[in-house]
Amino acid sequence: MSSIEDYISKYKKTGDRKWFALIYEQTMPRIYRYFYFKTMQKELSEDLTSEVFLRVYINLKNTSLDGKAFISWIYRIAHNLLVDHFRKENKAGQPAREFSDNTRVSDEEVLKQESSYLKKELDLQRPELLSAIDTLTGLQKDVIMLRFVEDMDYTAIAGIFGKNRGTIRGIVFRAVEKIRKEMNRSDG
Amino acid sequence: MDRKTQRIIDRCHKLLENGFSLDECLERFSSFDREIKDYFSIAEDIKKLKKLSPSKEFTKNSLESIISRAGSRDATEKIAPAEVSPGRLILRPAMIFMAFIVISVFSFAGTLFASQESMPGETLYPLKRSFEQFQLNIYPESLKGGLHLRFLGNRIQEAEILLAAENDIDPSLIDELIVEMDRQYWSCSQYDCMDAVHEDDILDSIDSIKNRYRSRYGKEAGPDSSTGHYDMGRNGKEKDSLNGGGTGQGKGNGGQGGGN
Repeated sequence: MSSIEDYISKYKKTGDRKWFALIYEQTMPRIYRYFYFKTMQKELSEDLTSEVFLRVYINLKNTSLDGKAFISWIYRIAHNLLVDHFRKENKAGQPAREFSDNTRVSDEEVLKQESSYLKKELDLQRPELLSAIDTLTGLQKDVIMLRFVEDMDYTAIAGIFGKNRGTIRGIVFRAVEKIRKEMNRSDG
Repeated sequence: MDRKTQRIIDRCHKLLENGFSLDECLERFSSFDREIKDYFSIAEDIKKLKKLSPSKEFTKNSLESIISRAGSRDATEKIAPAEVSPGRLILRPAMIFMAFIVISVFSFAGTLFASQESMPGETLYPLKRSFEQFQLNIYPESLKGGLHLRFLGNRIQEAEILLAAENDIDPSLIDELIVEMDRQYWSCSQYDCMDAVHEDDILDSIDSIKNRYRSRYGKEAGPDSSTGHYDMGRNGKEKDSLNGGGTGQGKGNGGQGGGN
């Protein structure tokens, strides 16, 4: 039994928060990265991450999930929350990106600021990677992130998005190809 | 990236998972050297995003904040449903209801259409007959003669098919058709629905069916002749005319007793 499964099972049996804290510790950074990858905004990613775990905390005891299903479930919550967030922003006519000081800025500006932060933070040799990733569709971003950052296999990703394995595999290859072309264009 | 390259890259992934190095993979698939390098270099760059993490402050305080927020929320709250606008609340049931109506209408129309090809004894046959009756009820008087003629044609055709069948047929099915033929013939004639030539052909067909029925089952079709036999075929008509005035009355009674 993997540790996450163990923690879930113990938390459900005892309701002791220390087990939930361990689940949180193991999965929270992954969900944060998911949001950051999609929004490129630190504070928004933190807020959305909190919201996901609030829902997990309220509902986990009533589910019958094992470790793998739990990961799929939590990403589905995150995905739905993000869709709701973008929908609300579109309705309100706000830009999709907004900094914490409420200064509305253009996408290019956000990317520039975030790029320099990431370059420093992650020691990225090719910061143009971020602009290349930004050209991907929402689903391509999700899939690429889960595949390479979270090391999930095609089948597990397919489970999250309700698609088949072959479709996810195709999305990965097309996304990498698109990134490669974008980066070559920036280089050239 | 073509399918072959994709397959090679998948195999490299497998090799890496099994502890081989990227160089070993490149060596094995040297003709795809550039494609493999490009792919894994991008993958490695993306993997660096693993280092992304929330601020220390968030990591330290967020769990406590989540637990306290959970306590303040309704204990029965489940995963929050997407916000539904009031318009949707009304529209959604209305759309479901409309979809239900449309599906029901189409299903019924489909069944009705299928029933038009059904034969006596089949499940959909009563529907075919009910629909005929419905048409008779709603059509204007000027068109009813034509309807009776059409239904008479249907009964003749059905009886011909049943009599031509080689397997055993329940005689009551043909019997009922013959009674119905007489009834439709009588109703049709009330509306002057056919010319003399046409009428002769129809009467020939009815007589032929009755004769074949008699010879196959050894009895007359319809109610027993002693208690009021339907006989609107040529025989019945001739008998009527011999009896003088019996025809009109016989027809007026739905053909009953026309021959007597």
